[in-house]
Amino acid sequence: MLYPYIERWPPVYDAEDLADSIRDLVESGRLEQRFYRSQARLPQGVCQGDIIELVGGVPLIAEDGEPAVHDDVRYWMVIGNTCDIARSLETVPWSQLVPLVEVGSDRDLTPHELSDLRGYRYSRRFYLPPWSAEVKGLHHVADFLRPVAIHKTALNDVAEVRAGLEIYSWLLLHSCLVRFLARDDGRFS
Amino acid sequence: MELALESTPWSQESESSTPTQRFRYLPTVRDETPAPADLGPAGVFDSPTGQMAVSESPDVIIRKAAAHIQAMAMLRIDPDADERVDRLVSRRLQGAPTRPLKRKV
Repeated sequence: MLYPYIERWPPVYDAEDLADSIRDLVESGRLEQRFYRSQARLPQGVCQGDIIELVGGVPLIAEDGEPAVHDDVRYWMVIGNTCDIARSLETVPWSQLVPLVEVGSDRDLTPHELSDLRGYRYSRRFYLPPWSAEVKGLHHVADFLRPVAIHKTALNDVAEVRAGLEIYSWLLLHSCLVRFLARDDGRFS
Repeated sequence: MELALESTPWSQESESSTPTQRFRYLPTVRDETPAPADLGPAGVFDSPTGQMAVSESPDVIIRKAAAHIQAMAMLRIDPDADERVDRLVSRRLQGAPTRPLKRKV
């Protein structure tokens, strides 16, 4: 059976072209112009890499071993697989989010800190440039260390999609996620 | 991965200056989960010669792209940058509240 297609990205022709585009994206200094799809071009439905708005906190097991809610979180990134989101609720009821942490504004981050963030040479977070006028001048990271499960009904009915990634920034996210989970951190080298 | 072309392209673009047509097609036979769902493989039809070329599946292309990225060390981890970003985030999360979850009794 054919799965339903959502028109989001142009066709992929060539792997080297994709890799070059990601390198261009990281090195060009034009990260912020090429990172997100425009709001008007976002299809309905949620996909991996989308930034959503959902006021809440991070449920976790706290230091005392008791369940707790940490932090006040407004924006999240969907890291759950798009295919799983498309599957039926009976088959896959859950997806995953990670909270976005605002790390500073254009004014209070040093050029060195901004350069670090834009270089993607760190493993536990994923840098997100400002995605709309609401967060103009504010820089965020998706915190891979605090993943949260979300029922897909809440994802579709309660959360508001605020931004979606372009294909190259999605590939960058994908690479960073895989790197986070499977990295060699050099301890044994 | 096995691919079969659908008889009718579901999307077609004509380039007015050349007779080459690009189209996207749906693989009808798969032996793995497609990723992501909205990336379609592409084909090119050259009218004068009648030759048709189709691209690899996006799944394969993405894996190759990931290998290229790794090979080019584009996403090499710099332990110092890792530490600096950890510090930056910790600074921002200092004082973030932790509230106990209420349990129903």
